[in-house]
Amino acid sequence: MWEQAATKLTAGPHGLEPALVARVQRERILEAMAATVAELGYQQLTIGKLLGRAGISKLTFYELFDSKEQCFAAAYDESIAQAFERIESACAAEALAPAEQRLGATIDALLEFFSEEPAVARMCVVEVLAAGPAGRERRAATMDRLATMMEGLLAEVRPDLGPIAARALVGGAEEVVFGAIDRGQTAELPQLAAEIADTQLKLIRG
Amino acid sequence: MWPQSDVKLTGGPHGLAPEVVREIQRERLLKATVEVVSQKGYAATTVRDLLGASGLSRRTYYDLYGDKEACYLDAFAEIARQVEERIGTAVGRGADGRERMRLALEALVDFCVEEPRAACACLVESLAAGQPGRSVRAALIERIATTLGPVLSELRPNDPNPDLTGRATVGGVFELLYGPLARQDVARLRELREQIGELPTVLPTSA
Repeated sequence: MWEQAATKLTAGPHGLEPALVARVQRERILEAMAATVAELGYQQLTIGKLLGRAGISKLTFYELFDSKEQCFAAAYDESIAQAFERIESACAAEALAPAEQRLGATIDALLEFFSEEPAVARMCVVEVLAAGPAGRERRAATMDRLATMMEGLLAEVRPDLGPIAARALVGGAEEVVFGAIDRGQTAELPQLAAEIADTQLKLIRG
Repeated sequence: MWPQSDVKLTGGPHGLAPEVVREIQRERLLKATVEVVSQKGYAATTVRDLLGASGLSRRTYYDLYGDKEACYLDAFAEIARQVEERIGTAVGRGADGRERMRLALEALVDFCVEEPRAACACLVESLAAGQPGRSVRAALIERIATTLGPVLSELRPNDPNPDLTGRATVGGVFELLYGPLARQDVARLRELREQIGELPTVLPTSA
């Protein structure tokens, strides 16, 4: 996530276009948002701590974002968009495979992404629920999307299972993933993905 | 939930023993905590809100609890105890594994229908109460999963990962309850009751 954050912006005229400078600064802030929220928790997050970590001035922050809440929302939205892109790529690669395989590919892609980005994982899965009503809404929308995907997969294998079963399966997986991330065990997520897929397939197929 | 909270404590000597007064005040405060936290959310709840809702003085509050978090965790513990008791009782009935699971899950939903504010304070707001809130919630899920363990292994004897299945089962049901509890949508909880009860029937397809 936010690879441009590492681009060097030396003091004085950068010789870089203002738009590029702004983009680098924005990514630096978003990366710092994920790192700071993951480390301190949303409740303890302040703009001061965020800016300290990002190495950005308050003036620059407010040129790019309205508030800490809006900054969090942007960091969350971009991370989740990336997660879904990874899922969609994985499913596209398995487009002709049976639904069971696509289920495994989906869980693998998502958890691999989280294992590569532990701060993002904590922000998106754990801290989002401490980020007030806006956080809860975002999380609900993400869960809705995942539940809809699950419904689509179930429709091919168990058309008798409807949206409630789909949401229960997604929710159960989320609970297990939440626990691993909360305990700082993101390195184990790829292995956990295999166990979750296995458990879900047995629940679905018997 | 807290039957003693309504007992009248008029100004001046109550004629009640101090420990009794203290317990009544504590229940009043825990009840108020549930009311405020379920309405405003944990983060936005202040000690002043709790004082207003409970009618207690600041001094009495701080005699009872050091801070908002300690007070909330005590309320959580009491609610969790009630939830577990209901599930534990339900799982003891039922003619077979499927029915025991159904009764257990329905008991959980029934608690949410009967005590929507307490259920919200417990299942929803714990996730907004920092690491301590998350920890007690995780421990509750673990204990419920353990209670359901024997029933689940009866339904799924060859499960290579029964712990994961247990946590996923409880977590899945909690997820279904989350939205309606956050919105205090009791009608929706009633609608969900039957479908949640059915999940153990439709999901593990092996006999």
